Amino acid sequence: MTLTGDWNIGNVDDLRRLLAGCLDSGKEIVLDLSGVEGCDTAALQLVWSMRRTALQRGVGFRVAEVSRAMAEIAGSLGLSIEELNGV
Amino acid sequence: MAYNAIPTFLQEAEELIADIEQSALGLSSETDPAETVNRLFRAFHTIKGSSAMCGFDAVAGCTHHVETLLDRVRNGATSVSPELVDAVLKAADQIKLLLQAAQGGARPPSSEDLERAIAKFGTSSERTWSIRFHPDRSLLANGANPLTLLRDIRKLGSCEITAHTVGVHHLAIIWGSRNFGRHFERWRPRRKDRASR
Repeated sequence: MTLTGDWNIGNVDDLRRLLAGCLDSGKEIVLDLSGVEGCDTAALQLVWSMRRTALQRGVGFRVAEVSRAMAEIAGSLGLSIEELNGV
Repeated sequence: MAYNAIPTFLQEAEELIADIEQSALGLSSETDPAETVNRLFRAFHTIKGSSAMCGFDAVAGCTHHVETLLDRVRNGATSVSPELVDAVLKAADQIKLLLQAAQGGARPPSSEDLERAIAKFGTSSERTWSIRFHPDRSLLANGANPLTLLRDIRKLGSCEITAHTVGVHHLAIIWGSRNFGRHFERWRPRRKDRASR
């Protein structure tokens, strides 16, 4: 699954639908976040929630790539993208 | 039904302790142990924050000492040595005992021996402030941005920030922007400051 653009509190409902739809496919989830230009706490929360839900369902989950912008925002919040890959 | 974070924490703590033990055992033989020291620090830091959040104060208190020691190693104030490896492994053992006691409702075993072992590495000239940031659930929905606050805290001095993702709910529970802010509601910024300031 590839995400691009800016995800924030204004469009998190759309993001949630996208992520939920991806989860419902039951296939291993590989997120390509290299095209994410910006995000906020609400959007990052959803990504972490998606991982938790995938693990609960026994669905594989990993982040293949992440944009510098997203990694920096996550780092500012004390979040580690590596944690998403279980490192 | 209220979400209970404790089982998740206990499972993660078990995994983190296993990782700590494995990392510590390989520490002495590494030519560049910086990344392993960072990994150990992060693991203890996560255990400390999550245990405090779950009410396991004895675990959080014990973990704070070894975390401080590893921070000194990261800063070059203390070297990697067999004694350091021993202290890290002792800390892992003590955390396991404390968690077992907490789960059984027993009195937590004393961590004094561990604290004495860590104290031998010297005292720090820094003061560390631990700040628990637990905003209102409506934080994000009301338009507030925690990034701004955390950036302001960073301006005050060296700062480690850990988000407590153990409280993040499953996707099915999060629905509608009104609910945002209910799940990323705990941060634990940790500010260091020179005592001489």
